[in-house]
Amino acid sequence: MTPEQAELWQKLKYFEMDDVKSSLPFSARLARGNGWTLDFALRAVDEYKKFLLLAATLPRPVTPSDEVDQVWHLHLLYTRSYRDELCGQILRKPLHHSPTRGGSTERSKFNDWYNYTLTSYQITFGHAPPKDIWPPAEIRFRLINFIKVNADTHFIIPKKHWWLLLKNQLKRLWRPRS
Amino acid sequence: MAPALVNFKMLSSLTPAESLVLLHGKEADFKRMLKLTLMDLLLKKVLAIKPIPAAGHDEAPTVNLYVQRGKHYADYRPFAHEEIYTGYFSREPNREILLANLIKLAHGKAANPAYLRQQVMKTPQLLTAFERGFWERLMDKVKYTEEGALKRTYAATELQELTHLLPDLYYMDKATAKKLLQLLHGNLFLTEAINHHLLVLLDDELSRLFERERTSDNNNDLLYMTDGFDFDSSFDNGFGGSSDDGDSGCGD
Repeated sequence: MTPEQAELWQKLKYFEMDDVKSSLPFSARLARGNGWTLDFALRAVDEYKKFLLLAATLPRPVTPSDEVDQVWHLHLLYTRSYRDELCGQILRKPLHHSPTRGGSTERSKFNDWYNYTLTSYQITFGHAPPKDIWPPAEIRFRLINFIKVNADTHFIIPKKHWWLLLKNQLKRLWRPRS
Repeated sequence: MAPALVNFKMLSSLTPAESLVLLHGKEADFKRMLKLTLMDLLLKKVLAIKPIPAAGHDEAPTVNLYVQRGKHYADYRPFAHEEIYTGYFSREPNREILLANLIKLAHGKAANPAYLRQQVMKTPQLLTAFERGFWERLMDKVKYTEEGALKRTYAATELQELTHLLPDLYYMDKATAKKLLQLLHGNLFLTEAINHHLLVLLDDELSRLFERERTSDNNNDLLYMTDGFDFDSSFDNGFGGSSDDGDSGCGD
């Protein structure tokens, strides 16, 4: 970490997005909206702060993992915190969020940026990014089929579990009787 | 050891949560167990509080309280009922967390009064103090063994003595009071004879959490969005157009 990055990191580390007086603070909302545990949400927020450091100090654009991107999306809704406090007071410059415009060129560009982010993370923080929040590029850009579902009106069954159930049922049916 | 301290053999060998379960059995107060366990870990310097001037949310207090590893963290072997607090720091030595968030996490891990109580009853000090047969566990019954009843009597007598002794000591003999604190740690606050500022703070955090749980509903979101939105006149005079703009992508 350069001295400039170290100085900025101290500010980002204690940049608190949770309002302790709020009934639904940032991290709780993040956890609820994504079906995460609070512990995971807090870790994702920590990783978001690391991403911010990279975005603000590296010469090339960086790309977050989907988990970090979810933190970014939510933070963008907290306009005062994002624009005035983060960009205005801490980074002292704007940090724009640029979704893909689609197509193979864009895909390749973001893939390249993401790998650059992972490498820069390791160099800057001295350790590899945690895989559960920063998966490798092939997973990061493959598992992106998200939709918003109303949990009050729908059951959500993870496919992994569904296949396991089905597999076990089939095994039981085909097991030779003794 | 000062004469006042020799009498607290039982309490000094227990964590506050153990004391509460030993003294009150099934009626051990969940909130007090959570509060005094954290207080105990702070007093034992297993965890430490770090105040940081707030830089963040508009309506944040002037100082945010973070919890980090204390200087005795590495040497301390926490019990299961203490891991609800200490576990957060096991992965990364330099991890820090807002006090309010740590309490929330611990509350989630403790799950419910019965679960936390069962964790406490598994410690070496209490393992033989209660009947833990199949039916007792299934029906969540708390039945003292002979040894447990004796321990309970000792603990109750010591607590009575502490309650009688502490207010005078606190004001007239600070040195002995300090030794008592080092001996009993969080158990000192079982008496309610003194009120430490940190205890008040933890109490506030827990009360807020319990209150939130009691009154939570989905309408909070709507209130939040409408109350918090401010059509700042400088909305459009932002940061756009600067050549120094950070521009980062998300790729999906």
